Amino acid sequence: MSADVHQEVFIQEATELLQELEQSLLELEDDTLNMDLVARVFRAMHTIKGSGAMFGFENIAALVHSIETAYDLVRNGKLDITKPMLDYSLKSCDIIREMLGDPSMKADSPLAMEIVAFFSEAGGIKQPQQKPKEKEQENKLLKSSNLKTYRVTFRAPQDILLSGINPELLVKEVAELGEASISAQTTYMPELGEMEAEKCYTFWEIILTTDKTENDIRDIFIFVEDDSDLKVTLIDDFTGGSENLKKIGEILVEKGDISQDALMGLMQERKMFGEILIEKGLITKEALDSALNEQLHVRQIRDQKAVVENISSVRVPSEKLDFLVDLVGELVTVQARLGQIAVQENNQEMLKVAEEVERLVWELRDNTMSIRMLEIGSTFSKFKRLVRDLSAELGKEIELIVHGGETEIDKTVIEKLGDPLVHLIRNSIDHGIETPQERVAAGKPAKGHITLTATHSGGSVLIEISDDGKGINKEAVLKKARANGIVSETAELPDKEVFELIFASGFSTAETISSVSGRGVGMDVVRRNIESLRGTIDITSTQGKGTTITLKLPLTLAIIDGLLVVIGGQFYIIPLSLVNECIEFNAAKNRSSSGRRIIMVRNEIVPYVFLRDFFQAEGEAPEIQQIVIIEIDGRRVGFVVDSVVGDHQTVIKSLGKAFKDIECISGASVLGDGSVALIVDVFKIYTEIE
Amino acid sequence: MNLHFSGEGAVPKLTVSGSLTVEYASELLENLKNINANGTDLHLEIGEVDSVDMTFFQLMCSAHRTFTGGDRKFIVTGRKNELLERGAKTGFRRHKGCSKDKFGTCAMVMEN
Repeated sequence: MSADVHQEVFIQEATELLQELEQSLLELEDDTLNMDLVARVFRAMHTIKGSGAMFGFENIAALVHSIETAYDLVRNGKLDITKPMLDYSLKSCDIIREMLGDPSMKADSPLAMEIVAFFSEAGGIKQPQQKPKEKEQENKLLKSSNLKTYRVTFRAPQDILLSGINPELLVKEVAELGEASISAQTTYMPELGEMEAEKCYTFWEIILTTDKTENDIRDIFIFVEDDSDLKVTLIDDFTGGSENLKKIGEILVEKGDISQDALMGLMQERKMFGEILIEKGLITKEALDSALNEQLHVRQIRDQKAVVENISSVRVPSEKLDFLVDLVGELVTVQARLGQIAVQENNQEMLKVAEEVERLVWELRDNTMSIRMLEIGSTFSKFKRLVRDLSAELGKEIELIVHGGETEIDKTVIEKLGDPLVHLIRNSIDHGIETPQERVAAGKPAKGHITLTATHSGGSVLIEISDDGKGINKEAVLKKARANGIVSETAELPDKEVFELIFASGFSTAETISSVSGRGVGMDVVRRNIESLRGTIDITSTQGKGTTITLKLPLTLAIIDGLLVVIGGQFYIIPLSLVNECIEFNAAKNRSSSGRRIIMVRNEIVPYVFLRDFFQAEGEAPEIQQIVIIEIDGRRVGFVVDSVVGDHQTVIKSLGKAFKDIECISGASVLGDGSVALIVDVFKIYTEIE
Repeated sequence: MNLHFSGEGAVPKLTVSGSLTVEYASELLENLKNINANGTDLHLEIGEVDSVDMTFFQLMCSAHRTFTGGDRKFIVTGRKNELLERGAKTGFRRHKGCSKDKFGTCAMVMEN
């Protein structure tokens, strides 16, 4: 490898590390005593500094050195985490990013010098810290796909020792099932005067990570379960990213230490959550410690699992992966041809081989596609910083909540999804969520929430961006639309159509232009970007309650489930996800008196377009054609084609530069007989006929 | 179990060693009750331990609560860390004391 290649590798790895580092810093902001997070921050800084110096990024090493030293002090309990410390740490991430792009950039900008000075002078009061437990890594266990974490609460009868059973042996046996954090709880310990020496006053809470089942755990207690109080609760099944880790409040509610109502009431207070609970006498210090212990265990195990999984994974340049997908696409085409030839030849031996090849090729295709699938959580986690900084800039209190980070989607979709999501989140922050004063006046909590949710829905992924802000002011939108001449003065539109106006080019209801929004550049671009991914965008909003924007995207851009149709002897493919139905169409019978191209389908007027005309197909149209009814943005449109062949899963090929200006065709696919089918860009056609 | 009590000095000292198990739990409890009745502080020294079980940890915890509740000190020294390393296997080791540990002398917290 040349030095340049080494540098490239470092830049790539440092970029990933920075993302993790930012995530850890943001989590640390909510949980400043979490030594596990401190260790993560230190390790990331240490790696960036060490590798940076090795690969010629002395500027980065110079900047990070003092920061790393400060976090080492925190790690050893000699320094407290403070807000300025976290602010400067996050700012340093931005500078490091710039330095990665420009190795000649020195660490002498005013901000860089300020950061170095701050960390060099950092000092604080020592406070006792809980050291993270040192555990042996059981790689085999951590690699298990059945890994789960349980909370086992075991309260033995007081006379258990007198009956000859040692509860400690049972506890040890549970611990042997995996990685365990055991806590002997002494809440019910009497004073010496009330004590009977041979009685058991202790109960145990065991947080166990294991590949065994709940029944395996219960089996250990089989002879004492009837007389004991035994609870086995699943607390983590390792789905989702770190954003899915339970907060202290959730753990306490789950354990029955506090009620959900009490939790919701306390969320408004601005103090460390645990402190409030103890102050109000809602829980004991022991209950809080136990919940913290559980949280720590789950975090540590997840981190260890991630380390083990990283060790057993291989980093491959994405170009190689793209090439592999292309090759598999070719193979799918060749396999289809082989199948056709086998049928034509009517050769039984050949048919057998063709079927076997087909099975293997589809497996290979699915496997290759799955390699390109990435969890969307990595994209979601980037937005935490955006929300934090922008809400602070606008004087708002906003929390980003993420659900479904484990949802997998093709990397090419993820790459193109970043910008539209940034725009939508910025909109929610700027237009959606009100200031704390406005929210309180409206009877809402001062802190607003933006929720990002990803879920699978058949062959698509649904991404929801919802906020609990003021919602879209329909009157303001209509007023602006009328002023811009987009709708007539007297037009009365249903909600859905009013929200659609937001997507008009240059549309903005912002009174003033700010650094965030107001120029009317954006929602039209967002829609274009989403549609270029073969996706759809939908808005629902309730005034005073909030807005939800739903993006529906294909799982992958490499393969399309299509409807194969014929127009003028040429094959075309229409995305199957948009197709409602196909019906016979007789042009002569459906000629309306007004000459307008509309058809009644199930008591609904559906406009249609002749794709023959659109693509200027040669020859005569058959007497009986087919009309493919498509639904876009909740509206049904008919596309008239000569005939429908059937559904067809196909590998998408780009058309190449020579055809880049061809409107309404988004790609092509090679069919089994070697002929080319063109993929129809229904959104473009729809826009044109609109 | 070996017990040795020394009432001399500012703080009475009870030294325990050997088998700190259920067989001797009642004997140790009686000793602790008697010392508690004197209304003094107590220094419990851990000697060489052959075996230990939950009954001993329970007694340490109970004694600590009793003495602390009466605004008296109950301090554990000697081979305490060694003992707690064993106790850790069944959860009898703390990073910090419970809500009743007003002097910060929890018997189940390791010494630095």
